[in-house]
Amino acid sequence: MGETSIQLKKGVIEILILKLLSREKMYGYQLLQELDIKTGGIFKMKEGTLYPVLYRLEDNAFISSLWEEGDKNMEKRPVPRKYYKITPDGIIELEKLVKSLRDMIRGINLILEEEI
Amino acid sequence: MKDKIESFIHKILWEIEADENLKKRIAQDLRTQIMEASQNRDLDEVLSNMGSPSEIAHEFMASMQDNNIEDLKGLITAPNKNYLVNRYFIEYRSKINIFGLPLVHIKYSTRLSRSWKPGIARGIVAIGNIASGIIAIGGISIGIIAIGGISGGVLAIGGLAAGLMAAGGISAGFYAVGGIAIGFFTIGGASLGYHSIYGANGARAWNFIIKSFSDLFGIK
Repeated sequence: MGETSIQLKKGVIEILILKLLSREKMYGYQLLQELDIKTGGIFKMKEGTLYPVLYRLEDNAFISSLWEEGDKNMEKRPVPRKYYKITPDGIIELEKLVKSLRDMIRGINLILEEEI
Repeated sequence: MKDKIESFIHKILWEIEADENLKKRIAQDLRTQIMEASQNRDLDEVLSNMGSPSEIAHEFMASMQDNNIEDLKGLITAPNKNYLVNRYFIEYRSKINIFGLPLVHIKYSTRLSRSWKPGIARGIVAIGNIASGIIAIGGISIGIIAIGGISGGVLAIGGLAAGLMAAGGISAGFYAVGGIAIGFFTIGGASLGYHSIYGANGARAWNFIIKSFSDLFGIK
């Protein structure tokens, strides 16, 4: 993966995480899988990349975390999970970020699709 | 299983330069993630897919630096991924690798940090608190050419040096040169070897050692 591609992805990863968490609370491993599967492998990430983004979002109070015990009836070896969920501030931030991204994409397209 | 997970996490944290609280946070997340991933897969496969502890630690450091994590703010200042530096720590790893080792690896941390641990450098040229490589320079160094406080190698130079050719305050080797030199061919203030050259004080020291042994074992 090229450096340019990595930098572009870094810019939007926060939006994708907030969007996924706005639908339901998720734990780290689940987020990694969802990002990978739902983006067709484009946002396949390593834990070393994901967690620091989560820490920053949490430190800025856009998401919060809570521990839940695993379901003994459903799992072979129930494990406690640290779930992340979006906060009201996070929802406002997500709306702002999505608007900024859409504006940016519209601006980029005006140049890229310009007929000369 | 639990021991293997904890050992793996410990190796990662060992290479992460961060506040203890942040380390705890990382450990918690990694622990639950590994346990979660190994629900339906073999633990060794899960760990292998994650990469080496060193790679994971480096990725965390680079990403935390990008994200300005509060606990690291003001500590890490260099933006380049292969160059990490803060008040207590410096690491440089060249992008060129030879036989899986970086051409140059520098890893040094000062004792000022609350959670000090020595920087371990491994590379063709390695410089660190502890260094191992072809050319190793460090507090403790092991290499073909090793220079350091305590050094061991084919050519070892240091306060305490041991190797095929050793030079130092106290040196031991086939060829040894030093204040105190022990080996086959030796030159030193006090020198003990099959072929030895020593100074006046060395002669006195050598005679003292011989006399002490003689007295101890009653040899006339």
